[in-house]
Amino acid sequence: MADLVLTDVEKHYGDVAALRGVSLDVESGDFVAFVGPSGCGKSTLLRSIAGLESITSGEIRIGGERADLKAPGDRGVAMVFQAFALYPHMTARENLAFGLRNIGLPKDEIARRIGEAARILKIEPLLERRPGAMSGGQRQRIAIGRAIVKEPKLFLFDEPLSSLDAALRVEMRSEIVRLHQRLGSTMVYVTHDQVEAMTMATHIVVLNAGRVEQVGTPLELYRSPCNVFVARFLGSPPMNVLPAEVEKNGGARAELRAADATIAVDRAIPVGTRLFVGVRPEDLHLADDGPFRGEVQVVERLGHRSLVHLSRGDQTLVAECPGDVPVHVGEQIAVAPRERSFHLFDEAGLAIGGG
Amino acid sequence: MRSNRIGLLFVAPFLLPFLIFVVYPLLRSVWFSLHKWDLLGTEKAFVGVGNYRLLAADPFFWSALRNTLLFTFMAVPALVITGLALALVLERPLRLYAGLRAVFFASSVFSVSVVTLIWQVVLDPRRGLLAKAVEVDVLSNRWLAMPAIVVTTVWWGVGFPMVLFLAGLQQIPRAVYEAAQLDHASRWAVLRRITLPALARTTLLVVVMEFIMQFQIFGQVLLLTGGGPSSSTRVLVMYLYESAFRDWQLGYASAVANLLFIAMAVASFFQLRLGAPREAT
Amino acid sequence: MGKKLRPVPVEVIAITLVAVLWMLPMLWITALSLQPNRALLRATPLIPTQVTGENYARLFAVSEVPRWLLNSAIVALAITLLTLILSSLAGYAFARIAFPGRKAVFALVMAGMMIPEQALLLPWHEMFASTHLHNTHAALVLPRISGAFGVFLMTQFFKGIPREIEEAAELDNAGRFRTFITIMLPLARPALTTLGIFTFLGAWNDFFWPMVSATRTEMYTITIGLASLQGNFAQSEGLGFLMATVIFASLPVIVLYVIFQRHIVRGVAGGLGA
Repeated sequence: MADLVLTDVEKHYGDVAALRGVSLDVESGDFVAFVGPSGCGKSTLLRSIAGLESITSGEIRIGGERADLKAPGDRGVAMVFQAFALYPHMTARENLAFGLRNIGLPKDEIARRIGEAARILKIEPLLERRPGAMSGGQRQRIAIGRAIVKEPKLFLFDEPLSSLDAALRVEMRSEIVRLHQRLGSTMVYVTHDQVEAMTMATHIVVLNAGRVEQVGTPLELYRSPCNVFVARFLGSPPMNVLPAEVEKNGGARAELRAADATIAVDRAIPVGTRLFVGVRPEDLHLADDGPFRGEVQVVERLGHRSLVHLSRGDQTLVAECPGDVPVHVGEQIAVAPRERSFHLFDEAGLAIGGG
Repeated sequence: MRSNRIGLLFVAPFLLPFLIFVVYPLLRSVWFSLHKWDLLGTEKAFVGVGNYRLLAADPFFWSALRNTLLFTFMAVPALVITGLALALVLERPLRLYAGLRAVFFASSVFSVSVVTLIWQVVLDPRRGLLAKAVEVDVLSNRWLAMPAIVVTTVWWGVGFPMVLFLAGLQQIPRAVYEAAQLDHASRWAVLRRITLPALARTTLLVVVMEFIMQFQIFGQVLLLTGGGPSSSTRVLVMYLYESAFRDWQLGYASAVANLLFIAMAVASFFQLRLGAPREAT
Repeated sequence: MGKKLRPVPVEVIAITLVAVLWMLPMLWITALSLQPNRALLRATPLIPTQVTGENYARLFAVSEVPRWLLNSAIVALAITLLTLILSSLAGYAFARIAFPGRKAVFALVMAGMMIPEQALLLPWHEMFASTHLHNTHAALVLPRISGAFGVFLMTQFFKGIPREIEEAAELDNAGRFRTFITIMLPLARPALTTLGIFTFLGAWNDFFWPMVSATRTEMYTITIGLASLQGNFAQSEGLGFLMATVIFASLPVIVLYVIFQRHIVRGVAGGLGA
């Protein structure tokens, strides 16, 4: 168990920067998820921590020790790969033992560690089988077992659930969380799936174009995204973001106009300021006197909730309503926001506090 | 980070013999060809392109080239057409056909001396398999010797084009045939409009590869006719062989070898260009 | 399912007949090899009137065939083993290790595939003559381990193995060489089998170079030995004996073909053809 500190990590491929000045503190025992769209650098960052990629500049410390100059095997990290990367010609037991033999651990210690990992993961019956004779979920467990037996300072997961089917994914999700609780190890988890990040991690790092956009607990990020990118990346369906302009400024209160609606926020902003106003779909509800009016384009009925897409001019809003809703495509309806549910962003997309 | 220099250590065990037995000899061969070089060691003199000039004026060289091309232009179409025909017939997944495919490919694994011994006996005018039907000594006949070598070569090597065509046929999606069936296409129409066009690329590749192989014909001629009768089957490689190991004219033979190398390299280059995009489909 | 193309019986019969004709030379010489040489002076029938094993017996008693077979076995096995080792080592490096100069060296090796052996044969002959190494097994083996094809095949194969597996090994503290031996080589077994079979067949059937290099009969390979027997059968009484020699000499490749037929055909269709 150890903490992980990244300082100004840069990675360039020729002229292309994959990571730009990434700095990060991960406390011991944390479960940190790296999320971001594809190409944002999250995998590169993880592979740099593992040592599978060399960094151009900056520093990586694991448990206080400088790691970025060490060989991957010497960093005290274990990694679970996307496609598991099990050795196909070895049995599960040999897969688990391979790395331990390579560092010259005594036989009984290897046996002890494999026994323990097998017990934790309930893979005892699989140990003499080869990966080819296992299901996806079983392979996943072996891959995790191979990481556990190393008793690493740091676990790294590279989108480990993306090659599983949907049902298994949900099951393994909670299994990994339980594993984290049981081992108490520091874990870094890369995913493009924000649901995985929200449900599993203690902290989330949102990456975009090689930069850290925001770091925080899942709810911090969800409630107070620091910019439009984070606001729209977390949450499904994503937050509605409308361009707006301040029309009145009455001391502690301002009125803005967005999508032909006038809305009030508890904040003093000079008249004429252009900004963006964001509101999450679940913060909108049907209300005949609501400020946002528009024509229903699509209704997605999911049973326990319904997503109503309405448009007004070239603006589109999504409202999430519980249960079913009595609206039809083509109908004119109005929606209203909940009190104080607005997120305000300046013209550059940076948060300027809620309203 | 792992040091990548260790890669050199992995490559070295191969690279060493490669440099000694491929790269160096190739340069050496050019060097030879610029000399009048008697292998018995009595004479070694720089002659520049003299050997190539001699070659251009040598009627035996031109006759060998003509014989080689004659053989190639008979053998390549024969191999390609026979291979294609066998592949088209034997494509279907019948157990009997799997056995027959094995039969037609089998002779490919024999050495040239086995194949020529068999055919020498088969073609023997007195005791051969055809002795009762054909009373001519085929291999001593000016007009029949070369065709006989072609027949031997086809019997020996038809498995290779057949297997390549079978592989090409397997790449045609089943759905195309099913669509054709729904369009009421006759078997002949399917063959002409779907199968053969789909094999165009494979065919070109097979033709080039067979050309490269057959142009280098040597063993069959040496063992069946020895170049005769009256030099009618003396081919280029055989001419090279005789210049080097009968007349011991190393420089002159090297000039022949280098010309052969250039011709084959051009053809191989063509083959690689053809082969590369095929993997993508 | 719709209607499957039903096999036309006429077609099946016709192609089967062609196949029988195709095999006829083989069947016939097998028949000859089982008949007494004296009987063959009178007639050479496809169906033997007298059957004998004496031709095969004499093979061991009087001929040099066993010696030639031994030479072939030594040479072909040595070439195969060395080719597998050198090709897989080099192929792995070309596929996976970005050592300095990799691209240039690989291009050079690939260009080596375009060179016909006739262009190299005369320099080889001179090299071995000047070092007095003709008529040795080494002379037959050494030039044959420099072929670029195996390197090409293994490079292609190793490129297809997921990189993650190697990275997992790297995190498992396995160095390059250990990764190669314990992970990559076992994974490469199918490719090594194919390469091994083709190398062995090629070495066994090798003709031009052994003919030039091995000039003493006791150093002949079986392929050269058989070539040396050509032409003297017609007048000789030993037709049955000669055919027994051919059959016996071909047995190793026939056995190999029967065992590995699928491998061989797949190899031609896949890696070797395109």
